[in-house]
Amino acid sequence: MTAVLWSWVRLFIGTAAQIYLVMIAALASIAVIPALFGWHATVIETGSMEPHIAPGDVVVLSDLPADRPVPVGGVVQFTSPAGAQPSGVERPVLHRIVIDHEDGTYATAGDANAEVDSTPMIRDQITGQARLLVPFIGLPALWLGAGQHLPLGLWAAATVAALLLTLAVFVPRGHDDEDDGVSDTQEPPALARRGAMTVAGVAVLGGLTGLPAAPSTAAFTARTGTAASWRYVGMPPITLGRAGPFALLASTRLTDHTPLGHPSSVGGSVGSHPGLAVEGLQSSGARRNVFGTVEPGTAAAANAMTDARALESALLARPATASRPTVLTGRITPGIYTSSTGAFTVTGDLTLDAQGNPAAQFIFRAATITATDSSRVLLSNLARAAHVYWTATGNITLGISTTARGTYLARGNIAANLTPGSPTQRLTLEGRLISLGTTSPGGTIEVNRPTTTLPA
Amino acid sequence: MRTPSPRTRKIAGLSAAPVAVLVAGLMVWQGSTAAFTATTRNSGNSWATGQVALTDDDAGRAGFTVENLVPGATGERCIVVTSNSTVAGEVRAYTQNLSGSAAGLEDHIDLRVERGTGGSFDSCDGFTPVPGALPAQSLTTLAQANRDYATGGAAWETEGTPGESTTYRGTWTFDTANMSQTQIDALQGSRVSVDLVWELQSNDAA
Repeated sequence: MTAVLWSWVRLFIGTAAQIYLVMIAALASIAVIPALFGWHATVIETGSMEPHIAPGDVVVLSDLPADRPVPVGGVVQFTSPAGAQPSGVERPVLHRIVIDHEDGTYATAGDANAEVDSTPMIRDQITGQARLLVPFIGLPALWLGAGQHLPLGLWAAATVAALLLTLAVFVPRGHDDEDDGVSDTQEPPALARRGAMTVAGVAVLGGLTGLPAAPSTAAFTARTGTAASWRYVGMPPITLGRAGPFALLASTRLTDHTPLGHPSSVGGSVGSHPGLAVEGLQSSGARRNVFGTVEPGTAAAANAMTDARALESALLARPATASRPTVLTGRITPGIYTSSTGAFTVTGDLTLDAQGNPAAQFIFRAATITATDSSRVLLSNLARAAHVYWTATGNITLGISTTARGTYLARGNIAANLTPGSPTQRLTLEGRLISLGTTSPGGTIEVNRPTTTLPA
Repeated sequence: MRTPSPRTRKIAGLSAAPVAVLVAGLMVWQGSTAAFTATTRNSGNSWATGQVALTDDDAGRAGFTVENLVPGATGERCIVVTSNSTVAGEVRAYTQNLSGSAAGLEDHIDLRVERGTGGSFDSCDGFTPVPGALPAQSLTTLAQANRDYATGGAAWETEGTPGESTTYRGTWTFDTANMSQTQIDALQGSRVSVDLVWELQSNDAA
């Protein structure tokens, strides 16, 4: 009974081994034979086309004729440029075409990738359209190429074992014939059959490991990202607004100390707000020295003060282009300057050089601003006093006989040319003095012998 | 039960080959049909997350949202990129979807992307850069020079160990040097946006 069972098991195993060998031979033939008709095969090296196509599968491809459309939805082999590969080497890639961008480029993707490939493909890169998928048959070549000797060895051993089993079961040997009790006289000589099977087996082994199919990669890709946005709302405009007509505008008190008989001339309006005091300045009468209007605490002064404070905010909002030491003298180009010490002192002649740009702005910002006696601010190369601004978070003090240009804005007090002196010691101002009164104590303007004009 | 007769053995021996050829043919036919005639890919299929995944720690928040630029302003943001891939590969950074403004604000936002260690989305404290950073360049230049994986930079080689991570730091500047006030004012109201993308591609098989 045991002997009977054994002979059935032996037959079964032998048959299975033969099926295995023939199947390998058949798959190998399917992978290789199309090459005779101009198709080509490729071994898949990576798993990005899973679940359909696994590493070790062989894909047989046909050329894509020039008159055939690009097979969107189909699987193609294409040459991925060197730069698109992590290795920096040009590689054939087997992926599916998923999007026609309709500009001559196509998006490709591995079936196992959530994202499409980031580098678009053009038709010229296509080296073949996938036609046949031959499973497993490229595995020996893949193992050999990857140096994976263990699976390669196991597979080779299993195949040799299958070969030997087949030979043992189906090719009669001397003692087998005795078991059968029947002489297979019609069979070819046993030695010849055995030899043929062995040659075939070795051919399969050797052929598979050296399968003449160039490998294709099918890289995995994954992406992540984050959004970024920037918005430039803009800076508040630098404009005098309703403070434009004012030459002298104080917050609490505006006083002209010019002695009787000394010259005083203000080429614009004067005013105060919220204070009501405007002293020594008249727009009519014998001592008329104001050639605009006098606005003590009026609505016009209030509006002008509002806009002057907005102007100061706009000037302070802008980033500085440079930080400078205290002393301002010599030639300075346009820019927004802050003091490295907190104070600016104009000494001697300060020439503002617009470098030919009449729109060039000069903005000076400090805690305190001082002009030494007899100092002058001069304009050069189309610089305009209308585009010169001085802002002090504290006081502004202009010395005796100074020439000042620009709009002077102080949160503290402004004092200019305060000396009894002689009639020739004048304050020459092309611009405006505005005390904002936003720090305490502050808000007064005191001048002596002013000769002011509003800048054009 | 008798032992297999010679006739049975002969039938088994002769029929094995046709059966094997038939099975091989069916396998090829079935596999080819499934792989090559399907015209849509399995979008969002679970294979992707199983094999290769790249995530970051922004939790859906935008990397930069600067609503009130001031000339000369600058800022930075770090983002931790984590690879949960079982295959080795290389991550590269690039930009996508630049949406500029008519006035060209994108010419004046400079962005520098560095890779390093330490830091997180909430704070760059502890960030230490490694060599190989992309230079600071305007968004316009970035969008042309670093627009896809092939042109990406600040590369990070992953080893295929799930959970490995690195930090990228973006530093931006609203560069108004060499601009007149008039030119700066022309940018008023402009908005520019761009997507920063990190992409992992697995290495070629050896």
